[in-house]
Amino acid sequence: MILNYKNFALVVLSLLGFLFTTNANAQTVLDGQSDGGAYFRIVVPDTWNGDLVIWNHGFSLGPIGPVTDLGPLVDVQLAQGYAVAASSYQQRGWAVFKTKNDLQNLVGAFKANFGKPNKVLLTGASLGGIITVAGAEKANLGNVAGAFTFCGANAGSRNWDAALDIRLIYDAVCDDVPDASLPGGAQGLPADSTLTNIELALAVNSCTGLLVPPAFRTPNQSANLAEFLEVSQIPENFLLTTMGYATFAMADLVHDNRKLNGKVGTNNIGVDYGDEAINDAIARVSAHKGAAKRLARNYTPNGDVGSTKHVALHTDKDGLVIVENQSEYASVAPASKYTVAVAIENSPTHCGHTSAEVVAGWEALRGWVAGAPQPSAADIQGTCQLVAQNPLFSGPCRFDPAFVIPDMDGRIRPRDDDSD
Amino acid sequence: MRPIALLALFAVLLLGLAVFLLRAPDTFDEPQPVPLGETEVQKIRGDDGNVEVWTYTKEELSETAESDSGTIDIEPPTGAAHLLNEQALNAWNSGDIRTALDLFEEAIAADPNDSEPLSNYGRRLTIMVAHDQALPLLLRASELSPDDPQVWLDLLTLYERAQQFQKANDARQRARTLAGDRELVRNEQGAWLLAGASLP
Repeated sequence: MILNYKNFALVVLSLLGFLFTTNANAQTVLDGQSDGGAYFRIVVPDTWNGDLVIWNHGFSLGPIGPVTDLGPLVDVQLAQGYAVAASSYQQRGWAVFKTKNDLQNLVGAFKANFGKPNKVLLTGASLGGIITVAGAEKANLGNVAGAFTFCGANAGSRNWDAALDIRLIYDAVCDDVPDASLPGGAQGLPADSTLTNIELALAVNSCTGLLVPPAFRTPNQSANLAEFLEVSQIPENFLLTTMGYATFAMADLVHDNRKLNGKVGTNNIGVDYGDEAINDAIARVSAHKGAAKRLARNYTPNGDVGSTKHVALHTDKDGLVIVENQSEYASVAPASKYTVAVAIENSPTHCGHTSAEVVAGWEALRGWVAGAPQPSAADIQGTCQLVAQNPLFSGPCRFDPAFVIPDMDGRIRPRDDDSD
Repeated sequence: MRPIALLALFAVLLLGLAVFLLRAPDTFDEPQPVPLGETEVQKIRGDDGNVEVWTYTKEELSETAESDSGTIDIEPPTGAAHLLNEQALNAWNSGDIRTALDLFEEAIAADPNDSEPLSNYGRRLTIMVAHDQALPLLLRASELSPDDPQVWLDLLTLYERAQQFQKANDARQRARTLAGDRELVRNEQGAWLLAGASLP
């Protein structure tokens, strides 16, 4: 019988309901902390199949603490016999500077307690996407047979160019609006800033009326909002989220002495924002040479994935980690090792996949790793429709095999290395 | 009828009128003003067609919220919380965001066990990307109203935005179970709700 991943998925999924009930409590949980201060959690089912799934979580500026979240597929993966593990990472925010160590420590702890896994499957979402990519490319974690990412920032450090642009566009649009100005600039916020999320939202609202029904916005607010959205190309319902990254997250990146140590790593010299007024008004900043290199190294993917097979999902309107991350990564990753499926959504979300879509992507990777041909986006859509028939997983299935992912240059304007 | 009898009848009628007039203020007078603190809250109740206006000071509301039920002889605070919640929503919808935030805080202080202001405030803090502040409010709302699918959908929205996908999945499952045949959908802001429903 030819191994077809659809058949594979169907058989597996038909068993899942049974497995969910029988495997629910038969597992060993190990919590710990490794060098560097990262916490980890490892869960091994009694019916362990010998493989290890690592879940890489997304961006968080919260304090480092014990792991409580093993990803949306943990129940499925444990039921399928995988051990599942995750690290809190030792750094908050853009944690990629140290995640190589965190993942190595995690696998080390696993080996010490449960033995060497046959295969390692790296999974992650959002920031966890680039951590997965970096893990596959350079972390030497053993036999990394597969990688599964969704809404992943797989283009890596280039995403920070967008954060810089958003902050400086905001300053150019809102600088003279009472109560709208924000401390800092290219560095996000000053190191000693006490700005809160609520204060940020109120400032943005003063400039754009974002929190107010359109009928209650002043003409100036409406004009500011329209200009900001047009130049930044951000969906309206992501404005505050992206401003959070352009301020709090950028400040963490810049000021953390284990990251950029007070230096700005991004620049916008010569960037054409497509708007004469903005081009004239926007602050122009150079990157610090060392910081730019350090940011690029942590991490810009090179596609050197060896034999790792990678399935990536994304939603087309993602307003935070734009779908163009996948075309950017596809430009360096070998096509024979990288499959992307894009779901078409009605309104912009970040990671707004349905559970059937996520399970379908995971099953596509499992089948591929097990020897089935490389899945296409159409295959993943077909699997999703099968998965959605299972009452455990809700659809709809929205993958469009014909979707062409635009080039990242159209959303994150290209810039030269202009570091000083 | 003798004149004396007529006089007696007149006296009885006069007495009855006097009694009626003396009792009447209990029913028809305007409510007596209460010395006000920083904030006054009025509750309008329409039971049995009667309209009553209750006025509390902020201090009274605070006392009541902290006391055991029945120990203070004023209206339970749930009505005040409800009204403050409505005022907060009105302020938000008219663009007075700072006032809305203050009123939500007051509503929750007036009745920490009313899930409505907790949910409404938590949703708005989620919109403002104040996830850390929103989470305890939405968790408390889910404890108070565990059978309401919307409290789990609010948590789903928050967990998704905070990228805690395992918890998001758990919240989605809980909402799906409670929602029955009703579909779970997103609104234009990306927030989860039941199909056909709207969020205040």
